[in-house]
Amino acid sequence: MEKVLPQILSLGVDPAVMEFLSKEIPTCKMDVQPYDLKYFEAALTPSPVAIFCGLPKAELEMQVAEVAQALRMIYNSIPIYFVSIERTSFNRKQLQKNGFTDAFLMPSDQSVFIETIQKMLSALGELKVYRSVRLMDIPSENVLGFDLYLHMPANNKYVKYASSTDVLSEKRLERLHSYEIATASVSEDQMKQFYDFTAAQLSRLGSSNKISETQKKELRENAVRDLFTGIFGEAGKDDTIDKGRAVMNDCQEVIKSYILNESESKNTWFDKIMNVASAAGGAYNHASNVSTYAALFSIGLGIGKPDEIALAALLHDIGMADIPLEIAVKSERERTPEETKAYQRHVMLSVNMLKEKKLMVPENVFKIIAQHHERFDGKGYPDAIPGHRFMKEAQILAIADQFDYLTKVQAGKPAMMPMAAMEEILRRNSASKDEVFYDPQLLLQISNLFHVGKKAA
Amino acid sequence: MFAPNTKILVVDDMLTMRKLVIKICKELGFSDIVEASDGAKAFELISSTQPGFGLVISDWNMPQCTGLDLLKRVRVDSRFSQLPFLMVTAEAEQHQIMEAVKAGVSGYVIKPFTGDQLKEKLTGVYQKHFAQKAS
Repeated sequence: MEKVLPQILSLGVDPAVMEFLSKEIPTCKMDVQPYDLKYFEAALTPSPVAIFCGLPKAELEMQVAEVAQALRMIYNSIPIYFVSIERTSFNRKQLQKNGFTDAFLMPSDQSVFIETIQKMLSALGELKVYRSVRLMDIPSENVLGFDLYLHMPANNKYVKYASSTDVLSEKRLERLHSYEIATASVSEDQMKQFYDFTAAQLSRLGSSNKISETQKKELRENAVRDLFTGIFGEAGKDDTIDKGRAVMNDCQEVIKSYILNESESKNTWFDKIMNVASAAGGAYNHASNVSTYAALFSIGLGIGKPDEIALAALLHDIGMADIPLEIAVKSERERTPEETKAYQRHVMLSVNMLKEKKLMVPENVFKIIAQHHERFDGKGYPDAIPGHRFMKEAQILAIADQFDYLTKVQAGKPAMMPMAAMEEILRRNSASKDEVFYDPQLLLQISNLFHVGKKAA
Repeated sequence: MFAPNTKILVVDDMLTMRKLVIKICKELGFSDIVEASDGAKAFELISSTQPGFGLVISDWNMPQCTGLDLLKRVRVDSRFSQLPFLMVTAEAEQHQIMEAVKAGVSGYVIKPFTGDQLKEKLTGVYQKHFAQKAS
């Protein structure tokens, strides 16, 4: 018998978003429709498992808030998501108050959107989703409590490596290490068990953290997401100095609570890096991870002001919100020269967005952001200026950015162990005299911090 | 609670919202429901319909004559000073609700709402208007 796929009703969603979604979630049947008043009369039978809504056009004569209210009154219990590429009218909290389960602004929210849908389908039992976890989070002496899988890239299959009742022996872990396997997978429905396991592990190790790394990660992600949508949303209408000041306060709060707080904890420098690197990847982790790494590099080297670097790192990619979705979702290799050019504009867009929002940030923060894709050999963008002419802080941010990319646990790419990632950055930087990405002196100093830290650990 | 034969007037400029509120009222067992698409028409209906309405459910945010305007017009007319009047508001208008209370609203419900929530609000409105008399 042919399997009946769950049906999602999509109303008036931007075609670029739909194209992106159809690639990402093939296990659903999408009923893609323009808005029509008939959808606001009564529930469809059978009911869709979820509804996606785009920004309604004027001819519908309904505001987005009314769409949310009406659909929510028709469908009490299914998720209804708003997804838009229009950042000027985006106010996540308001949209949720009117009845949407959540609201996603593309392309910034692409990963968190996909994750949300996967979780939903996984809860419906429609989709087996696997999350990558780091083997270093799994000590050998305890019963797992969750099944552990290995991903086989050749046929894209997941093979069970250990059962929930198993204790992973030191020998088996070592064997995986010898194959340079640093990550394994846990199915979405058992992620809670995995998090409980790692939280128990943390408390056994006498970690000073009162809340688990998972909760901390979620809090941090939510804070960063709220902060960003606060910056993106409702352009022009109230871009006053006061609003800029309020956003700035939020930034500083995030940095104080989640970033510098990490660097001020009693942990050693190396442990702090490891703590951040070991958290399972989340959609909004990149900004806060890079911010933490950059602040720690700055503190470790005594170069620049850590809070300025942390702020620049937190905001360095917000301009990505204005890059067309179809370009943002492509990998570097897939982009045409024109698309590459458009993509590279995100640097100046970040700076412009901060200025447009009247964020009172120190001039240095603008400079660090503007130069974070410049290269030591002068082959970077946007200005292709050579290393001796731009700020060391921008290089610190660039190295932190790359370090997070290499270590991040993310579908579709292998994650490296932190030490290996640092070695890889060094290797690439010295492989050819014609390709020098980062200041070799500075990079060596950072890598030394890792070596000294590792020895002490 | 209101008797099933209570005559209800549903006021909203949005056709979809009117239909939804009517649908929910029907699910709660009411069958005598009249609709109006703006405050002026609503007032006309309220003053001319015989026998009169037992309950008005009106949206707040309507062009020209808002739900608040309608409420004020209804309350100054001595015939309707005790007519149960439930205001429907969006979350964003919640802070204005004090104004409606001063103008004599019987209760309010925030969109989006379910049948159960409306029932709860209607029970509150009913008690406010009739429970004291009954006891």
